[in-house]
This record gives sequence, C-alpha cells and structure tokens, in this order.
Amino acid sequence: MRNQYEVKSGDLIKGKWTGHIWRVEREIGRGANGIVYLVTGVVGQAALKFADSSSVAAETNSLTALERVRGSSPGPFFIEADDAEQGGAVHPFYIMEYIEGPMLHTFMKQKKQEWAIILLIWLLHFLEALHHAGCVMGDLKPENFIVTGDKNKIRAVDVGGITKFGRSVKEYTALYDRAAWQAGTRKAEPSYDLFGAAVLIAALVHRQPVHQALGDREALVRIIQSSAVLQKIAPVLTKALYNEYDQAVTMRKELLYCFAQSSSSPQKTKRKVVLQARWMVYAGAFAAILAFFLLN
Amino acid sequence: MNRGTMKQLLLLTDGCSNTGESPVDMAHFARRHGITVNVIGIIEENGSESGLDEVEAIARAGGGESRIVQAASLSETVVNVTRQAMTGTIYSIINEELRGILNKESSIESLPPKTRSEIAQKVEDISEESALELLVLTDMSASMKQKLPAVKEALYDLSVTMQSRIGPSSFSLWIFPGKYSAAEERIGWTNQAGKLAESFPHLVSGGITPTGPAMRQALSSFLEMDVYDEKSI
Repeated sequence: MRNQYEVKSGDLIKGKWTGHIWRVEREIGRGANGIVYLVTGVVGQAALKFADSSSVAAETNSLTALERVRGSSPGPFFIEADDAEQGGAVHPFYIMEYIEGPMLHTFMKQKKQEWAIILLIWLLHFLEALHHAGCVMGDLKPENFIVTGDKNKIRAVDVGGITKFGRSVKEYTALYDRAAWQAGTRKAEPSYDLFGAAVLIAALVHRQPVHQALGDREALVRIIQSSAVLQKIAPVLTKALYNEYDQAVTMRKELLYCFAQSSSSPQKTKRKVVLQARWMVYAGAFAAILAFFLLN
Repeated sequence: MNRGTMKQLLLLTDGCSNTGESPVDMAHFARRHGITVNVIGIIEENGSESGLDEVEAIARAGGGESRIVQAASLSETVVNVTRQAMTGTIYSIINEELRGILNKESSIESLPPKTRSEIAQKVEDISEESALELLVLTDMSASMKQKLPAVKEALYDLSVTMQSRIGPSSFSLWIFPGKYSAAEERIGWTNQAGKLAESFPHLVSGGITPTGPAMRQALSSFLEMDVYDEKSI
C-alpha cells in the first residue's frame, strides 16, 4: 500500500499505454493489496484496481485464465492493464468488468438462513467452472463473491487467491483454510476449495460458533449436525470437511439428492417446524427444478 | 552457490537489539552473499510501534520484506512475507538484467503491461518450483514469552504452505540469545518442515537481545561451505 494513488470521485485517470481515460465514480473495495474503484470509460462502467505491478500482472493472468471457461467467466472479464503517472511515480492498474450485486454475507442478511444451502449449490457451480479451468479459488471468504441478480449466479470479484492446481494456495483466510483446521494441506486441488465452501456455508449460518471452533474440525462437524438449518445437508458438508470429494460436481449432486430427500420426508408437527417444512417444500421443488436443469 | 536455490533468513523479534554489532550491517552482509533477510516485528495488542524502526532498516539492508504485526496475525504474515520475498528476489534479478540491457533507470514498470504479465507468469513458476532454504531466527528474550504460542503456530502454518510447494524446501531454526553464545541452532537443515513447529521451545532465554551477533552466527549455517570468514564481514 506504499505510494497509493488516492483518487476521489470525478477524477480522471489517464492510461499511459492506451491513452484511455477513466472517470472515477466511487470506491467500491479496499483490500490488502489494492483499492478498487467504479469508473466510467468509453466501454461504460467498469471496475478499476490499483495495485503494485506484480499483483496487477498476476491478477491479469488469473482473470484471462478464467475467461477460457466457455465464454462466461466465473470471475470478472479482464479489459486492460495500464499505468497512471502522477508526479513522476508510476501507478499500475487494471480494468475489469464491474459485477453488480450483494456479497454473500450481505445477501444472507436479507434472506432466510435456509438460503445458505441454495448459495452452496450456486457456489459449487462456480467452483466447477473454475476447477474446469485448472485453478482453485483459494480464498473463500464471503466478501470475495457476489450474487449476480440476473442469472442467480455466484461470481468472484477478488481473484488474488486463484492458484493453478498442484501449487500452494496463494492467498487464503484462516477461517476457510483447510490447513488452519488441521485438516489437510494447502495444496491447490479441488478438495481444498470444497472444504472451504463447507466452512463458508456453516459460517454464514452460525458465524460466532464457527469462528470459535477454528482449528477443531470435530467441533465444526458438531455445530453442523446440531444445526436446524444445516442438519439436512450435514452428511454432505461432513464429507467435504473430510476431503472426501474430489470434484465439485459430485458434491453438488449429492447435495441436491440430500436436500430433495430431507424436504420430502415428514416433519414433526410443531408450528415452527410446519412453517419451516412448508418453506422446505418450496425449496425442495425449487431444488428439483434446479437439479433437472443442472443435471440435464 | 547453487543457482536455483533461494536463500532467506527470517528474523522474528519484538524489540530493539541492545548488544553487539549492528543487525543492519549483518543484513547487508547477508544480502551481498545472496541471502535475503526478512524481518517481522511482533507487538503487543494495542502496543506502540516505537523501537521497531530497526525492523524496517534490517529488512531494507537485507533486500527483504518487513512487517510489524500483532501476535494474532503472525501466521498469515509469516507465510506472505516468505512468499513475497521469493518473488521480490526474482523481480530484483529481472530488474537488474533490464538495467543491463536497457538503461540505468529501467525497471519492470518501463515494459508494457502485457509483457509484465508474461514475466509475472514466469516469476510465479520460478518461485513455486525453485528450491528454498529458509532459516528462521527467533528472538527468545524475556519479553517474547507471551508471544511464543503465536510464533509456534506461525511456524506450523509456514511449514504447511512450504510442504505444498512444488519445489524442494529446507528449513533451519535458530533462537537467540543462546545459552552459551549469541544464538543457538535448534534444528539443523531439514526438509521436514513439520519439525519447525514440533521442536519449538517454550522457554525464553534471557533479557538481552543480541540481534546482530545472532544473525552473524545463524548466517554461518548458510555460508559454512564457502565464504564465511569473520574478516569478510
């Protein structure tokens, strides 16, 4: 964060190499290695990230690698990389597609907790596409994902942790890190992300207890098993936590199966449960439709 | 010197050196011999950063990275610093080459972004695949007592990341002050990263902080085969 190029809304940023001009609208994110702004240029709205030159170069590579996934990228589309010059100093930045929507945890605030399961299905879709490109996400914190409104999809907005299979994961957050739970290595492989996805979902529903359990996988499994919301999919989450899935698609199929089964089984007739059950029927129907489309 | 091997000394400390030669000079010496010196200054919760100017000065002289962190975020810092220093080392070699080819002021930023991305790809490959020799030198003076569990955890964490790399890594753990000398070796070079955390001692040693002399002694374990000679320092 040294020599940070600080800009305010209305400022114009001129690219040294392309000559393109970007007008800053507002800051939309600030991370360990850079600041992201919403900007407007000839292509319309876009996101601009200032970072040091090696991060810009590395993230540019990650973004372009993702685009090889059949036309629709699980991350933002890369537009261009450039430098801004100010007082003799060079400030590298890159421009990417601006993805609009709430981050996972913001999304959950407006929804019933059961939505966490739907989010997991979407997240597994995302991971499937990413793994198909030969990379893992690495850092599975909720702030790194956005739920896009139109197609109900999850896309990544921070690609700093994206790592090629077989290497050591570039960036991670302890809570979602398999190694921090003493549950395996930090090697970039699908099961690393699937472990993180299971923790992510558990933490979206039971934030505090999951944080407190960090490092103790058994305790995490107990939280999931005793959770009214997650109980139904506990077998799937547990398998992910024990690295038993090596493909996102297998986990997603088992999740849908588990979900469909639990929602059709008779529930106890307490009032609260009835409400929940009714919701679950809707969700089950939804899942079945979803399954139909996804498994086609 | 083996060309493909990156050598790093990671110094973990919580305060100023108070005896013996300057650690900054020692860092300079290390750098001249192709060893990068990284320094992490550990502060108390809500503690001040005073007295830790030295941390940055040592890292600057040693061509490495420096961070000042609370014990709680030590783990991720240790991993990130080690990683960044590896890519930093490669980039500084590239910059040097560029200056040789182009002109004195050239750096990676004088190349167009597309070329930089291609270089970044190569740098990432090299730092993932090349061999790493990492010597961890830990301050065990009395004030470190509260922080030792965090240091141990950080070393465990580091070992996990290093074991996930493609390239071979070897480790050595030194602590200071030593019982009979400025520093003592706890674990000699090993490729079993797990040993770092396993054999981490729980007892602090004493009140003095001979950072400079400790670095001198620890560096000997990199250099014993070639140039280690007191006069050359």
